[in-house]
Amino acid sequence: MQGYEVQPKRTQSYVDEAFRLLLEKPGVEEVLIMNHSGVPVKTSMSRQDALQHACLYDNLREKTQAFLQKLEPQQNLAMLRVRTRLHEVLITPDGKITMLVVQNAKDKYLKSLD
Amino acid sequence: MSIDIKRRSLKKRNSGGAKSYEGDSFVQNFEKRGAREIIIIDAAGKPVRSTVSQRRTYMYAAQLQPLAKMSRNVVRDLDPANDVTFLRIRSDSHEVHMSLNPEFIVVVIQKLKIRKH
Repeated sequence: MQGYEVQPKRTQSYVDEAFRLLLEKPGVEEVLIMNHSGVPVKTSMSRQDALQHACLYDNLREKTQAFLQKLEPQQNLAMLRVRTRLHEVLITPDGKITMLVVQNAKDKYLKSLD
Repeated sequence: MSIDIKRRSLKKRNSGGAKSYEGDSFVQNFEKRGAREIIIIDAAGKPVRSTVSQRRTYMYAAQLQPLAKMSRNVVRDLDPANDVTFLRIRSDSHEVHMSLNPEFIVVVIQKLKIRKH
């Protein structure tokens, strides 16, 4: 499924270009782009998965931003990376959109020590 | 391995609060690499060891421990077999690394240098 696409004139070419470039990177499994309210705009996963990911990770991002605001000096979030056993999720706020990338992060460092 | 060595090589500055690192080569190794502060939090959320002042340590621990719990819940919600191992929070001037284990949370805070391109 191509994803939750709004009418083409509302999807910026920037979003399309970013989506395309992200998908081309090695190791990337899924890409999701949300608008400022957390609604998935362009995604490579199924609709239900996209909504679930977007909702949960947007929530986490807001909490992280709140944490950063409480520090001194106050700072804005540039990137949030959640690494799990199976994969890694990168959340990047970028102006009015938020990009979420699920990638397969292979542990190359430990392997090279063997 | 590293957590046990940290505990053994710890020299207590004062007998009351066993919280500061003094002359610990493991921690100083981090500091050479640009790490600014290291905080270790146990599973309950209490700071165990720290290189920052007590007040700031409590502030960090109070914020970061719920964040770690929330991210674990998020990951488990999406995939029950999955679990968080690492959290990296990056802002304009600082980066916070959190390594999550079942027993401990190790937090490293780095100050980023401004690069002029």
